[in-house]
Amino acid sequence: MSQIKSKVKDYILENLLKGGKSIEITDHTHLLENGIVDSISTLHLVVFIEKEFQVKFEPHEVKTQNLQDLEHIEKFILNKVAEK
Amino acid sequence: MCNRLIIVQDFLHKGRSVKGGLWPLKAEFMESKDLKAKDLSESKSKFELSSFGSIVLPFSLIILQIWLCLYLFDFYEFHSKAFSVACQVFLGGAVLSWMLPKERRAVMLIFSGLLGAFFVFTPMTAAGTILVLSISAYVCTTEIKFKFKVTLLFLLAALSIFVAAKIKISDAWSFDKLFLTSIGSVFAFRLILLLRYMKYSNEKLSLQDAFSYFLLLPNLTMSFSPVLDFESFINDFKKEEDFKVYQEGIDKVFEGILQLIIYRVIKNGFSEPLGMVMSYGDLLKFMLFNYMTYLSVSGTFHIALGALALYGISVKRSHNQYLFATSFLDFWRRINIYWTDFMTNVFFYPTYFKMRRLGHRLSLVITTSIVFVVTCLMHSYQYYWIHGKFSLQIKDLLYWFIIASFVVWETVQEDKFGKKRENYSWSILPFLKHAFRISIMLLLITTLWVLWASESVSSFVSVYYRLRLENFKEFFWLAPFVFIGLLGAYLPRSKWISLEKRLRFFPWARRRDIINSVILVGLCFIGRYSFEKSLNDADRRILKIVKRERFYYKPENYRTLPNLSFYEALNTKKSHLSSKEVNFTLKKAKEEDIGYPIEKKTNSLRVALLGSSMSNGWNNGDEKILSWAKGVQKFLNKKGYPHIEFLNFSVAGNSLAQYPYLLEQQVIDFNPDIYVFELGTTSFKISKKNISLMFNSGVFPYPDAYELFHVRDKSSIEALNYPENFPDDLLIKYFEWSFKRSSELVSKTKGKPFLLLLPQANRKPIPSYERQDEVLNIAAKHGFESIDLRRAFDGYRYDCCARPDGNHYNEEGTDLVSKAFLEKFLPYLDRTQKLRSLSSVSTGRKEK
Repeated sequence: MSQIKSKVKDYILENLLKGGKSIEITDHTHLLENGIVDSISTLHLVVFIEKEFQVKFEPHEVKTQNLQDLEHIEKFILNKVAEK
Repeated sequence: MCNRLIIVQDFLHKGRSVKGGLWPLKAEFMESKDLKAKDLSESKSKFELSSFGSIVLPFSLIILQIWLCLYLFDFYEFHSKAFSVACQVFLGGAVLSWMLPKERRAVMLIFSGLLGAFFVFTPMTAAGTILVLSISAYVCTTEIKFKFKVTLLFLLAALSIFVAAKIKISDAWSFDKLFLTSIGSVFAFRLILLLRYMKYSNEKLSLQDAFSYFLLLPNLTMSFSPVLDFESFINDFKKEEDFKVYQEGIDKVFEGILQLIIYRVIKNGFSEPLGMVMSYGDLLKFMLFNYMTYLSVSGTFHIALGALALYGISVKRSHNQYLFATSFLDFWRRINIYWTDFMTNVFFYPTYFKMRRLGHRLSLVITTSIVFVVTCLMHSYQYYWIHGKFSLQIKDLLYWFIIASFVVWETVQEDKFGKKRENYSWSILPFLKHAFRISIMLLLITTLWVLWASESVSSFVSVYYRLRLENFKEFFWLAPFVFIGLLGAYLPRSKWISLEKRLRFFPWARRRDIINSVILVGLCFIGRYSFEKSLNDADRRILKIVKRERFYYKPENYRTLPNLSFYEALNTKKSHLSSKEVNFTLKKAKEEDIGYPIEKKTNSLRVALLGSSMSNGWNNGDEKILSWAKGVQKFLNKKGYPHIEFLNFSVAGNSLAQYPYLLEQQVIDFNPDIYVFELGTTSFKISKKNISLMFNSGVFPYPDAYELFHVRDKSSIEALNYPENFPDDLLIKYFEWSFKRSSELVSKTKGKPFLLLLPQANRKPIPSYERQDEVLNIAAKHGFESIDLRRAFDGYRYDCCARPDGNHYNEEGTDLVSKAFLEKFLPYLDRTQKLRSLSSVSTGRKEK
């Protein structure tokens, strides 16, 4: 697992899934459909990504397609970094 | 054919799970032709059994289920014939699409949409729908500025609405109301998502993608369809799908059918109008079953999404066990997930990130509130596409305000303290707490749902005023709420789901396929032989349970008024009118004429119904006379409305042509408080005939309406001589006069007039039926309130409610009309009675 995915995964496990039953998160685990993140925790996740990877989400970029799993999150971050 | 043979041959040589439908197997097989004969013979025996087991049988099971579903659609006709036919065409197209390579599937999707449109709609509606959607797709893909695109699409929507309302070549060649529904299914929400994609995406939109997105057949026939995101749709379509997607698709279709059948059972057998709620038991029952009618929406979503999955589009679930929600926020996330995602992606995230400089918490509160304001407005917008008018009442605002308040509060709490994840332990306390929360939430949501389903806030409140506790057994109806709570707490803790996965009857088949197939066969069997019958029995319940009769007048008085030879003459024109022997003597009403006292009792509320055979009851000589008004009368007696006298002055063959005269000569004498004038489904045709006959026999009783017809132009002369040439516009002018005259007469008794619009018995095209809205508006100008029952048969088979003649209601139809009438009318009666009692109290005080 890449560093980006690993950091995002750790953040989710430590901050968004605390107290819940243990869920295995793979690169393709759908975060929204599996109830791992929801609309509110997505906001926290976006803020985390912005701080951690120094990227900025445009309002229209915060959408399910970009944040649906670790794979898509990494792809989005890499694209953003490349755009800089 | 050749392809199919290759595929079948391939089955025998390949032993692998299917990826990308059947087509990739062909390519691989062609590549494998170079294999040596020896290798083939060795591998053949090895793979034969497994390929048959892993490919042919699972596919056969899906095809079997699709075939059973097609039969069920045909038999049950869910929602409407159009929807059922659309589903059949779409599912059939899915099976054919498996024969095509992946890149051609979109073409098949479009083709089934185009073909289906002509199966489902009238030719003009189909052509209009396809034209509008084609232009929309074209506009979306042209290289013009985004703002121009939006403007053009907006103009196109406006033009479509105008054309649908105005363009009519003939009765057969006109747009039916499905035209607005079908283009509305695109213009309402899908276009917003497509425009959003176009605005931000760098990829060029292809005409094929846009068109296939617009032409999703099940969605076209239903305004309640999942708001499928364009980006997900197109990405999923391009993905290499797995056989699993087809399996999920048929599962969804199966679940949808099951939900629609349960919905039908509830609607037919258990749901009663809000007006019938008299006790706490009634209320709890109403809350539960009223909420369960949402199965109609969730079932439709399942079918639409399942059908898409059968084309290889991986779709997510649309609902997530919404009965088991533990909070309003949880409810919002579980019910109609496509809507929640639409609002979240299009409004919530972008708004929040634009506003976050205001501070996180404040932005969160404002954004969540905005989401609910938009949701409320969007529901009204959607209502427009379904009913042709916007609807935003106080009750809607209140409903959304209450939900929004709870959701905002819970959002802030969740943001502050983190999401509370359920502790799924088997300890008693967490289990009971979980169950309790589900039950309470269900009670709250169902209560709000009652508010939403009410005519108005006052009719919702009036229910609570009239509640009475007959005995504590009524609270037995809390049991389903408790049961759902316990079930909701039990299921996530149980091993049931993993057990379901582990147990397989046969190694080659999912357990679920076998169970689904068996249930579908059962439903076909039940549907064919006894289901319909049992539903009819359940639906006749209102009349069956009425045993305790407390009459102010006896049922046998419920009949055609005697001595109405004028009216009878009109219906037997051969014997009377041809020889000009019209007996135009309508006697002034006497008590003995109708066997009912003219004098009204103190505090009684008298309702007069003026109608035709649709209200009076009708038979063709060898059948029972059926009248929906009789059901109303019995209900009023049963449910303790002794102060209401329901007098039926309906006569077979009557129409608005006779009402003013009947009103003046007989009805007014009874001094009614409320007058209900029926505008029957065939009132245009019958009124034309009646007016013509009156004129031609020299008995037209309205001198002051002469001028309407005595314009000596060709059309009015023709109109009076030949009813079939009677122009609608002239008749509508007469209707206006009739409403004005009736309104003047009614005001003499300080009565309130209502115009009652009845549903079509069998939904076959009726000339001029579409002009009823116009008549309704004219009546409203003259102080008539409306009781619009035209949609009372929605969700039933097109012919479920009609007698063999096609115009009159059978038992099921009369019962449904009775219920629908009470639902709309009782809140008004309650209000009137309440006002009266208030006024009598104040009068009493003054007297003291």
